[in-house]
Amino acid sequence: MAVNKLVYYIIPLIVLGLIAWWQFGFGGLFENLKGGVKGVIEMAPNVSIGAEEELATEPTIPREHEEAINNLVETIEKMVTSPKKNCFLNYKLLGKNYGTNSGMPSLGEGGTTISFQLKGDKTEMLIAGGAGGKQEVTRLRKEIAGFKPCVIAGSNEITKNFFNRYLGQGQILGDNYKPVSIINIFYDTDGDNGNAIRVPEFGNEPVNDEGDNFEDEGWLFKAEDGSICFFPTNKVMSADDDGLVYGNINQINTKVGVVGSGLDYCYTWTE
Amino acid sequence: MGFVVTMITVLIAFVLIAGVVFRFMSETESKEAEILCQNSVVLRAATSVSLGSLEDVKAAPILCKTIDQKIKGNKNEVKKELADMMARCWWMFNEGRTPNLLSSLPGLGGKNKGFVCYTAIVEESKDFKGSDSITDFDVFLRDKSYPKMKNTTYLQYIQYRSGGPGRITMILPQEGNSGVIKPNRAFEIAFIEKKSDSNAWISTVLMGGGAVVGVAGAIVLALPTGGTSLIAVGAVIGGVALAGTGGVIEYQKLFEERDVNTIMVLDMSNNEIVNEFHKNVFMGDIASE
Repeated sequence: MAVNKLVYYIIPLIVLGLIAWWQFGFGGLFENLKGGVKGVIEMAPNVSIGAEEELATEPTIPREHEEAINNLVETIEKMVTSPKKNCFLNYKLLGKNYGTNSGMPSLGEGGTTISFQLKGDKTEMLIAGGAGGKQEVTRLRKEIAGFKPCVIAGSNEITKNFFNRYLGQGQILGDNYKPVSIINIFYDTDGDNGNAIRVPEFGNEPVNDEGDNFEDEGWLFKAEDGSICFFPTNKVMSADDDGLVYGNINQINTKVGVVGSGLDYCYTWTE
Repeated sequence: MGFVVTMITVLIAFVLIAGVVFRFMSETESKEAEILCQNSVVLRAATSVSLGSLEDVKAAPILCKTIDQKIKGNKNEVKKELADMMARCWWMFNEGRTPNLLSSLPGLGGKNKGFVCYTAIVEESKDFKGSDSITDFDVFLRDKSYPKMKNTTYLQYIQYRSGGPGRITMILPQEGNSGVIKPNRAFEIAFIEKKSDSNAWISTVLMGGGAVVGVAGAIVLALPTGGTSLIAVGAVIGGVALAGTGGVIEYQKLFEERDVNTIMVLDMSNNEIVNEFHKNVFMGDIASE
């Protein structure tokens, strides 16, 4: 009786065990099933519901650009407050080698744009960056009191007069700077790639048809009426309506502050 | 006699009540249209399905229609109304979160680069006369808080505070260095959808031989036939208008490179630009297309 009972339980247990081994054992049916299901999953298309969202962050510009812009503003402010006129100052950060002839680091394609706009007796600076370089970085907007922008460009006469007075024979002729109401600086990829300066009111030309024309080495000039001038550059002519050639900008580098050169700093660090 | 008096009283009351009701209905209709549009856009985004190589299939329709509005008031009221419309247009299109909302819409005949949320007629008033101009709308957008979002200006709201990256572009008549808003003018406020590839719409018209001179972190578009100088206000649009190339200000980038979702305000006084704009941007009731 007891043996019968034992067989009654043991045989089904053994059968169950065999079935379990057949199904789940190494290489068993369950493994095959797993493999099969995995294959189906791999073959099935990836389904997702709901469009991917794009989320914005606050528009910003690279730190290196911001440092250079801050130094540019500080330099302009020093020149504005200086009592000197017909003088020079450099805004390029000391010890920086940007790998360009510009006083600014490469502002990058779709990167940073610096815009100065004269508004009455002050000039507003707007910075664009962020997505596509097309968002205003409101944090960096600044009004510079007393700053009237100008350029050493605009006509052959202006640039040549400037050249003659400060880099040539020292002759004082006619106008040697051009007051303007707007200046934009950004990286241009049309033509020669590089930092470019644009004066919208000049129209198609001068200045605006030149690529990589902001090889200013960081120099600014304070004119007779207190305007602060940027130096657009050209690639060919010594001095024409597009500005000075880069070689002449280098002359400013070597002459400013040298006794007898006639090129003075607007501000010295002992002041 | 009493009957006549009663009738007149009833008629006057009817006219007064009807006026109030119609005005209420009209305002309600605009609000309803805005909410319906926003809900449909959100639903379209939420029900978008990616199925294997079929990416981003959007099944739910967009139910937006252009809303016509009249604006009357002093300069500040006009600025606020326009700014609110711009912010609501941004909100209606899910604050720029969802890519390819419009480009995936069939049946728009290629006019799916953007959608005109509002046409607004700025009417003359005693505080905003025909000779007056609003010259500082960009400053308003930059400095004034958007009431529906704490500590956020209108510009911040559209650029980044909520949703995806955005920008504002305004093409306005020029006075001095500024783009201006004047009374008795119509404006369109549109959502222009981001598209990374270059697309030469509108710029071809702007190129059409006209002198193109940039002013004010901005672009003056002096068209040969339109007669109206228009200015794209760069103070708000940032780098776009500030850019320049090849002798002309690179206004093409303003229109060609739709690499950022944009809220655009367009003064409708120049037919040439408006016609080109309408070839590319849908206006009306999308659901009926």
